[in-house]
Amino acid sequence: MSVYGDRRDFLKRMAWYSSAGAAISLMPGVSMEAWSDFEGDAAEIVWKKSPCRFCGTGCGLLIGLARDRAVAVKGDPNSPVNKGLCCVKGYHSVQMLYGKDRLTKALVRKNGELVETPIQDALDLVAAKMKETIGARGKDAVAIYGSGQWTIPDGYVATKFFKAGLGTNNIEANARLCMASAVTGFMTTFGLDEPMGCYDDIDHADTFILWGNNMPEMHPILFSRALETRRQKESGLIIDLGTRTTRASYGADKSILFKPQTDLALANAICRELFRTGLVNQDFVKKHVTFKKGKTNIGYGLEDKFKFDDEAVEIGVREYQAFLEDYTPENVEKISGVPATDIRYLAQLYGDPKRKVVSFWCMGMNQHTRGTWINNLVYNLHLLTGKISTPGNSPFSLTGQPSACGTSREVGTFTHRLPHGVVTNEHDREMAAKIWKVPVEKIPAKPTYHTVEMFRALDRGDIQFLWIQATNPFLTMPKLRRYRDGAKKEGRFIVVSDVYPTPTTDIADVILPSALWIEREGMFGNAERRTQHFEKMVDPPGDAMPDGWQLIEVARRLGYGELLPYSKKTWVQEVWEEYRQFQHGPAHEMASYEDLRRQPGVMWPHVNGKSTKWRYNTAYDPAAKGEGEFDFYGNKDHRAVVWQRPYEPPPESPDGEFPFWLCTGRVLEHWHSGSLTRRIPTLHRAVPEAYVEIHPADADRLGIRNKDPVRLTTRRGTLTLPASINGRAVPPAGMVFVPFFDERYLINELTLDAFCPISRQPDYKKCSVKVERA
Amino acid sequence: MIWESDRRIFFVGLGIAAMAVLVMFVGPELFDYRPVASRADPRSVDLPTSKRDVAAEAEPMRKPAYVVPARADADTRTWTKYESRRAFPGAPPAIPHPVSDGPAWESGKVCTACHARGGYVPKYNAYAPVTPHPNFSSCRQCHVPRLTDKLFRETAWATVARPKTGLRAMPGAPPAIPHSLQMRENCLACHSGPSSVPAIRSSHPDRGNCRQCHVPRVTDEPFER
Repeated sequence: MSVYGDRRDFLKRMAWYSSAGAAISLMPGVSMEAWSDFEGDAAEIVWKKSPCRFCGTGCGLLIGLARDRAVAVKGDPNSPVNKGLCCVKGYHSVQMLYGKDRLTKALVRKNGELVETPIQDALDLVAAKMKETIGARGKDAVAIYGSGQWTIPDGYVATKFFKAGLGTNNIEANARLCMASAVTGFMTTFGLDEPMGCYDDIDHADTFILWGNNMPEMHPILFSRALETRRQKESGLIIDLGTRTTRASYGADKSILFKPQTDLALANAICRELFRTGLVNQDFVKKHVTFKKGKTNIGYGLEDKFKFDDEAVEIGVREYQAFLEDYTPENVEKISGVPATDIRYLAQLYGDPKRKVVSFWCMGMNQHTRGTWINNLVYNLHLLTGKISTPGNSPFSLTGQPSACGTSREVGTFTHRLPHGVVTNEHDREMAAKIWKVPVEKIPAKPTYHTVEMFRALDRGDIQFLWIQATNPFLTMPKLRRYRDGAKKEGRFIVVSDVYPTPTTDIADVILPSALWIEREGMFGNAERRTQHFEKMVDPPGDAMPDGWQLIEVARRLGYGELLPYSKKTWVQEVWEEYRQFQHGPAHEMASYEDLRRQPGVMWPHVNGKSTKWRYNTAYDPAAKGEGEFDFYGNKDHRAVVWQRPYEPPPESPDGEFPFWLCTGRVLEHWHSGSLTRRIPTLHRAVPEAYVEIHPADADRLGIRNKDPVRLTTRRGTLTLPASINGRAVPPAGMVFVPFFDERYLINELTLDAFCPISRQPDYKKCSVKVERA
Repeated sequence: MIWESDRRIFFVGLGIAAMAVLVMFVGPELFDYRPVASRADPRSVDLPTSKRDVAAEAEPMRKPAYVVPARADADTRTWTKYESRRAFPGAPPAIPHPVSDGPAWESGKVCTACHARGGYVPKYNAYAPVTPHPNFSSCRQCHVPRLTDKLFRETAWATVARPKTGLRAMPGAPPAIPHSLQMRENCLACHSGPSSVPAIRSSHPDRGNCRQCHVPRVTDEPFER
């Protein structure tokens, strides 16, 4: 037996890390270490806690500070998320503050050139332009497009300014592009957003099923935790379901490849097998589940002003079972390519009463023209087996941005949302009006544009003024050319708040320099309902200021000073206390500002000083009532919904002219559009440019060798980039994959702007493409 | 020539292996090479080793990492090299050699083939450094290669100097540990063997229980009642 191969107790080891951490912690939340004996460049490092700025895992970091600069990072041993470990992005995150091309001054376009301008003048101009546009075209001609990287106070201020100040619902965030299907999945199945479980499920489970989720690259810390669980438990198993072979496939016990879009059929086939083999938890289903069906043939949103409203119809279990009869393993093998034996095997894993199952997913299921449906279908698996809301049994929707949950989803920075509820609900509007101290008529009751439609409206000219904060849409929008060209049209006015020059700032009329991450105070909310606070640790460069404060400055210039009466020094705390009122109550109570400062994150509902680990479970959740073990109180009948959702094909599939699938996504080292990670030397040096992954047999047939230039052509555009054959991931024959971080290779000029009609989230994973050696 | 040197290593190795077996029966406590990181509970650091653990130790003892005398002509790890691979003191080092990025990647098994216990790598004429945290297997989550020296944009990044060594209270006293132990619980990984930086190589790695004499220096504040 090898020294390192021993099965040792992970929790004990983690306790050891924690105690080691506690030993060097002189005050709660702040860990100090005297390094005054440094040679030469003598400095004392002070360590302060912050959530990581990158993905939605929300790792706790300790930032090493010396001489007013961030100089080092280590994992926070006190954080229950990462327990002292980070990924390469987290360890090197502080380097992103120091790129030499940081935006430090406001820039205003004059005669086509960007000219350095005093920030107060630039803010005056933004305010004047907003006023002018509203005067000429009405309030719905101005819009704001924000981010899951907005801190909670930033998003709150934006929502309040636009909905209660300007009186328009023209607010969206890039979280629409990454999390919307997760939200509609939760809302349709449970009536409330966000996961019922938490990361502790990884320690309690033994079976991990990844649905199109390359965790070792996208959520490395959580994958490391799953690896540790597997190492400890004889029954430990990781199954990777995906459309290409990735690090997740190599790290898993079994890799199952399915054809794009057929996850819908696969999930239905597993449900059918659960019934057939008697593995359905009848008691749970009887007590806690209803069956419903919605509309079918629901479209793809490719046309402007596309409208769709689903209609739920309650059905009986018999009708549902009859529906499943089409999805025999043999039938589904034909369309999905997954062997029938594997489908039966998956059903056994989900159904085995001795196994505790966690399903993980992220963009594979969310960026999907039937994203809401596939979210529903994976919940079906957990509901039919009763494996939910208990330690180790968890359908777990992961997130990609640090505050996609905390800001976009909880504050509700979307056209249809309010910090509590939706604009279409009278009671929710009344609550908002009361807290915001505005007449209820001020808050418009009708949603306007979701993200794709917002950019279409900009192209059409219905929107004339767009303020973009903390996101890079002119790299990340699908069918990019239309939306970028639309933004450049005569009469459009684009304001961009960011920290570095990007393809989005390239076409801005005004660029406002923003304070980044620990250069200001804020809060993020991660994928397990954990809110984390970070204080201001270093000064922002030049005139840079927090996104939220830029909004307040402009709002005041427009006469909304009373609506946003916060002081520059304490606005984050003031906003937090005001926002908390919206979430008051046992179902979503948020921690106090003091609690947030003290602890490495607090999970809502936070009632009587206690975080809730498992919602809907009467033993853990203060909002769950009744005699039984579970209470799905998000729905009026206190039951979760098993949805009847069929397989429907994607809008565009490979054909004679465009014979390949095109899939896009991320790599471990780069995060989203790369504007931060590419300025981190370690990360850029590891992956200096994008490439196209191609299957070796396809490459051979097309005469393409590694690093050869490959021309990709779709109905929307063409792009030439280097080939990667047998690189870190390998697509199956007939598919190519391109990471989207590289602004030199704008792959989104080729992608399709089809979206899920329910969530309105675009599908970046499937369109058809022609592949040639250039 | 190559065969000559390989044969020499083989016989030295055989001798060492025989010694190790002997030591196993005679006095294992004298040669406690077990990395501290492999202990689940810090309290167990002071406990005598069990028979099973001794068996586990026999394997690393046969390996050359800690006991084979370093080849004099091998490439030595200098501070310059050590620092050039790290963004700041304590940062995970980048991978300085070409790595397979394809299907061979299997949750770190490829990496641990060399980095679990070290050893001489003829290709680089160097000794592979030993990981101080062998229980983590998703290596490439933190350690990434360097494919280019060019930057995307210039950076003004600066960090602090590495911790000063030799923090002794008095002449002859064991020096304090000047750095954080997080992810670096196995002292021997960096402080012993031919892959270590000579300036911080321990003269007595065979004593095993490092932290009975070397303690972290957590504060400079004097004790106050």
